[in-house]
Amino acid sequence: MGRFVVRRLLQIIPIFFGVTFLVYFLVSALGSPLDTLSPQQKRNPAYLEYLTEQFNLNDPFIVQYFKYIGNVFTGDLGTTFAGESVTEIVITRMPVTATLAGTALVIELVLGIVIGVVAARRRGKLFDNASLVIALIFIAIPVFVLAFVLQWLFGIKLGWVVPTGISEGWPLSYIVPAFVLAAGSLAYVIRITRQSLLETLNTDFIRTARAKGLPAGTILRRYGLRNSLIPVVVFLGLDIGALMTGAVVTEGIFNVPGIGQQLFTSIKQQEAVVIVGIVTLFVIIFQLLNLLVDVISAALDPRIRYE
Amino acid sequence: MSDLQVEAQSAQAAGPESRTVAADAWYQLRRNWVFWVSVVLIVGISAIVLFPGLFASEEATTSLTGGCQLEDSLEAPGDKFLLGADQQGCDVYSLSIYSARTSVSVGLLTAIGTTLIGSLLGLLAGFYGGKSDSVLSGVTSIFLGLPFVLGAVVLLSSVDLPDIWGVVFALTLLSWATAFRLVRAKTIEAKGQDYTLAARALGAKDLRIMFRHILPNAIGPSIVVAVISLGIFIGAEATLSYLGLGIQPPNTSWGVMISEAQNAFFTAPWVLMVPAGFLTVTVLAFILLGETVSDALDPKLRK
Amino acid sequence: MRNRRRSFVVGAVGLAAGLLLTACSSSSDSSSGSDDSAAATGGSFSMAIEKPQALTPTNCYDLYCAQVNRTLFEGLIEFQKSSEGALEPVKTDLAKDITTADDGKTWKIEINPGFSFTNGEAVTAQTFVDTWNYAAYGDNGQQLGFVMGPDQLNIVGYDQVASNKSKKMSGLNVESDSVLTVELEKPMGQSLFYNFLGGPQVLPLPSTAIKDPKAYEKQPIGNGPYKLEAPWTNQGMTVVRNDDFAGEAGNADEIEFKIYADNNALWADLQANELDVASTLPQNALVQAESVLGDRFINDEGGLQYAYYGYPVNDPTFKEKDVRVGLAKAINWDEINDKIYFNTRTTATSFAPDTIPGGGKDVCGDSCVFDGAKAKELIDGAGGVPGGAVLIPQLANETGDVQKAICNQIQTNTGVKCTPQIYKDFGELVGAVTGDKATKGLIYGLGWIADNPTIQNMITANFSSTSPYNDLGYDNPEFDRLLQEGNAATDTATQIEKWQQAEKVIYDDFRAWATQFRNNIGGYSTRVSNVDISPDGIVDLSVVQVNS
Repeated sequence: MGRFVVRRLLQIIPIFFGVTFLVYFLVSALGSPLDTLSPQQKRNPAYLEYLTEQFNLNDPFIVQYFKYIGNVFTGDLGTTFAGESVTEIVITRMPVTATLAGTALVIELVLGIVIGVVAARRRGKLFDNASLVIALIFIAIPVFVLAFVLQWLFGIKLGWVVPTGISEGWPLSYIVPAFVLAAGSLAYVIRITRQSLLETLNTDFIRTARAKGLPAGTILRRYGLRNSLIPVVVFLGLDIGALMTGAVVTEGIFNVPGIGQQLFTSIKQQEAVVIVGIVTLFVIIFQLLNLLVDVISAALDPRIRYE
Repeated sequence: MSDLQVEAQSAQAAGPESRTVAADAWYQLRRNWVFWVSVVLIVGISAIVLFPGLFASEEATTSLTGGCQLEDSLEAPGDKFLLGADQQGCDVYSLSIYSARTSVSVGLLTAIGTTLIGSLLGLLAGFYGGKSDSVLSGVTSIFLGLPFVLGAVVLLSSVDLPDIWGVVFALTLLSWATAFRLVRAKTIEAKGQDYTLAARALGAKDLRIMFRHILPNAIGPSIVVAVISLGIFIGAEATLSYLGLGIQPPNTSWGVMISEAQNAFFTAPWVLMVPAGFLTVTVLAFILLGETVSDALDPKLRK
Repeated sequence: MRNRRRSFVVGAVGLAAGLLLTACSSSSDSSSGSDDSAAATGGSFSMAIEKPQALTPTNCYDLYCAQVNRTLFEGLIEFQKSSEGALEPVKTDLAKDITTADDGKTWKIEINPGFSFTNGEAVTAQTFVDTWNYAAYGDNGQQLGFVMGPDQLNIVGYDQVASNKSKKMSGLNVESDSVLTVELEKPMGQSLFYNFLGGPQVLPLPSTAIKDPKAYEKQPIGNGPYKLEAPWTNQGMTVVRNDDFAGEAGNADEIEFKIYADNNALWADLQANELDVASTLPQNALVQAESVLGDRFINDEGGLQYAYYGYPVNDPTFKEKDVRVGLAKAINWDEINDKIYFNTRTTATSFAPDTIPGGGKDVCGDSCVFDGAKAKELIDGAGGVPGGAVLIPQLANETGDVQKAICNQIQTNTGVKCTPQIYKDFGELVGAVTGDKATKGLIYGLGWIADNPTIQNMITANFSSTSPYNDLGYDNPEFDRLLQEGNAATDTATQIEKWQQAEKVIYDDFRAWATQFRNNIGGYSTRVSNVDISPDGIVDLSVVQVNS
C-alpha cells in the first residue's frame, strides 16, 4: 500500500510537467498578452518595457517556461499585470470554489444515492423511468439556461436567497449555484447507483441471503449498498475535479468570487502566468483525488489489490 | 443454415432465457416506451437535419432574401411569425430548423472523432500494456486534468478552422480520453478471456486478435457511450457559444441562438425557449437512446 | 482626463469602459427624492464596480478605480456642467490658484493649506512634485506616467525621467510649501491645461506610497472625503467618511464597493434591491430596466464616448466616395439604437456629444441620414462594391448583436453581402487593417472614450496623421493644420471653432463617421436617492443620500 502510494505520487511528476508545458505552450500560442491591451493602454513605452521585462516576454518561449517553472518551485506562482500575486489570488479564491464544489458534491451524493436506490428497487416502474428522464433533462438543459432560470426564480421572484454573491455565507448563498453545478452530474450518480445496486442484487451472495430469508431491507443495507458504492465513490472522486473546473460558468452568473471566475478572466486577458498557475494547481488536486479514490475503493472492497 | 433456423425458432419458443444477448436486448427494448420515444424523436430530428426545407423556408433566415428585418425585432408569436421573431427580426422557428444541421453535425462529428481516436488508442494501450500503456494513460490524465473551458478557449483561439471544424476539433481533442479509458478497460478484460487465449494459442497475429476478437467485445459499450456523448457534445457547443467561443458567424446553431437570446429573455422568452427546447429535446433523445440500449445490453442487470 | 482609451464601444458592454475624468455633478436637482430632508446624512449604501486593475492613482487605468478614487482623493481640478450643459474643468477646494504669466509656457499652482492625508501627512507643493516624478520614472512601471509626457502635459525634463536618466523633471519646481511651478515644452491654453489636470493620475500620493508601493496598493491612503479602513479584496472594499476632510463632507457614513465579474449578476442584485447603485447595466437588462426600476432607471444622453466606423485608406474596396457614403446611408442607426440598444444610445452626427463645449452639432449632414434607396443608388452608380462583400469586425468578447444588425441592413438595402468577422483581441484587429496582409473589404470600427471633454481629444488620436493610433491611415494636411491651430489658440472660442472645422474635414472626406454616442445608463435601489451619473460615467457618491 505504501509503495503504491509513493509510486502514484511519482507519476504525478511527469504529468505536472506535461500539463504545465502544454498549457504554457497553448497560451503562448495565443499571442503576447500585450495584444489584449487596447491601443491606448499601450501608450506608455516605459510601462510596456517594464511589463516586457517583468514577464520575460522577449525570451524565447522555452526560456520563459523554465524561468516560470523555476519560480513555481520556490512557491511563487508569478504576478498578474496589475502586480497581484497569483499565489495570493489562489489562496483567497480557492476556499470559495472548494466550498461551492463541496456543496455540489453533497447534493449529488444525497439526492443521487437516495433516488438511485429507490429507482433500483422499483426497476421499470414509473418512478424509475420518471427519475431517469428528469435527471437527464438536467443534463440536456444548457447549464447557463438552468442558472438563469433558477437565479430568477429563487433570487428575484421568490426572494428566498440573494441572487448573486456570497454575502450570506454558507449555505444560503451557495445552495442555488451548487445545485446548478450538481445538476449536470446528478443523473450520472443516480444511474451509477441504480446500475451498480442492480448488479449487486443479482449476485449469488445476495441470492443466498435472500434464500435464507433475510428481510429485503437488511439485505439492501448490509450487503447491497456497501458493495454497490464503489463505482459511485469512484465517480464522485473524479467528479470533484470536474466540479471545480466546471465552476467557470456558474461562478460567473452567480458572481461567486472563486477560482473559476478568475480563470476565465485571465484566459480572456491571455495572462499565461495566472492560467498556468491555476491549471497546475487543478491538475495536482485532480491527481491527488484520483489517488484518494483508489485508496478508498480498496478500503471498501478488499478484493481490489495494489499490483 | 438449418441449425441457425432451429436455434432461432427454439429461442422464440423458449422465451427470453435462451436468447442471444442482442435478441434479448431487442426483446427488452421493444417493450420500453422510453426507447420508442427516443427513436421517434431521433427520426424527427434527422428529418429536420437532412431536409430543413420541408419544415421551414430558408428565405426567412437571411436578410439577403428579405428575412431578418430589424423592424420585426422581438415580434411575439402569432400570424407573422409562428414562434416569434428574435432581436434581429429573424423568424425564430425557421432559424431553429436551419440551425439544427450545425448543432447536430457538431455532435455527430465529435462523437465519431472521439470514438475512433479513443477506441484505437485504448485498444493499443490495453492490448500491449507496459510502456505504451503508461505513456498513453499519462497523456489521458493530462487531457482529463485540463479544465474544459480553458482547453476550449485556448484551442479555439489558436487554431483557425473554418465553419464548425474548430469546435469539432476542440471538443474531440478534449473528450477522446473517456472513450480511451473505456476501451482500454474492456480490452484488458477481454485479453484474459479464454477465447483470446485460444486464438493466441492457434497462432493468431496481434492485429487479428485485436480486431477480430477483442474489438467486437469492446466496441459495443463505446458505441453506446458515443450515442450519449453525441447529445452531450451538442450541449457543449451551446456552452462554448454562450462563452462566445463556439460557432462563428455567419453560421448559426442552437447554442448561438440561445446565447443571443439572453438579451431579451425576460420580455421575449420565446427567443430563448424555442432553440433551448429544440436543443434539450435533441440532447435528451440521444441520451435516452443510449441509456436504454446500454441498460438492455447489460446481461448482469437481467432479472 | 486621462489617457485615451479606445474601446470597442461599438458593441461591447461594460468591460472595456474607462474614462477617468473626476467630474462633479454640480447640481443636486437632477434626481428624485432629494427633497427627503429626513435622510440628509448618515447611513451606508453599496455600489457595483468591476475589479479595478489597481487603486493607486498613477496606475489607475479604468473607470472603476476612478470611481473609488473619487471618494478617496481630492485633486486640483474637477469637472462641472456649465449652464449650456457641457462639462468644464474648474478648480477644487484644494486648488487656490492655477495661473500662467507667459501665455501658457510656465504655470504656477497654488494650493490651499489645511488638507492632509488620512495618515496625518500634509498635502504640500512637494507632494505633487514627488508624485509626478514618481509616476514618470520608467522603472517604477507606473502605467500612467506618460501623462507627464508629450501626449498630454509635456513637462520639461520628462524624457530624462522616463528613460531612468534622472529622478526629477527639471520643469517641476517647489517655490514654497503651497506653491509649485510647472514648465511645459510648448505653451498650452488654459482650457487644455486644466483638462489635463483633471485625471486621477495627477492626484497627490503620500510619501509612503512611493516608499512601499506594494503595501500602499493594498490599502491606499488618500486625502479625500472618504477613507479605506481595511485592505481591499476580490469582493470589494468599504470606505468610511473621513471626518478630518477639509472640503465638503460626504453624506453617507459608509460606502461599500462590490466587485462584480459579470454584469448579469449585478443586474440580478439590483432587481432584488440587494445593490444600491449601479453605473452600468448588462445588455440583457436594457429591454426591461425601465419597467423594473421605474424612475430609478438612469438613461442620460451625452456620455463622453462615441462609436465610429471607417474605411482603411489602403483598401481599394473603398476607393470611391459614393461607395463609402452609400454604405453609411444603408444603416439605420435610429432603428439599431431602438431595437438593439433599447434607446440607450443616441445616433451621432459629429464626433462630440453636446456635453463637450462646441459639441452636439450636425457636422455630418446628409451622409449620415439613413436612406436605403439612395444608398443602393450611390453604390450602383459607382459600379458596386469591388468584391461585392464587406466585413464588420467583432471582438471575441462582444455579443455581436450590432454587427449582425448592421450587416442585415446593408444586405437588405444594397444587396452587398456582409459578414461579421471575429478578432480575438485588439492586437489582431489592428493588425487586420494596418499590417501588410490587411483584410480587404473590412469596415473598421472602434469606439472612443474621452480623456477630457474637448473636441480635440475626440478626433486627434484616431485621425491625426502623426498619431500612432490612426489605424485607418487617414492623412489630410488640412485636418492636421486646423487641429494644430486649435490647440495653440489661447482664446477658447477660436480654439473650438478650429476644432469644429477640422471635424468637418473628416466628414467631407468621409473616411470615417461617428455612429452613436453611448448614454450613461444605470440604476439605484429604493434605499437611496440623489443618484446621478455624470457624462464621464462617474457617480458623485458624496451627494448620494440614504433614505431613512
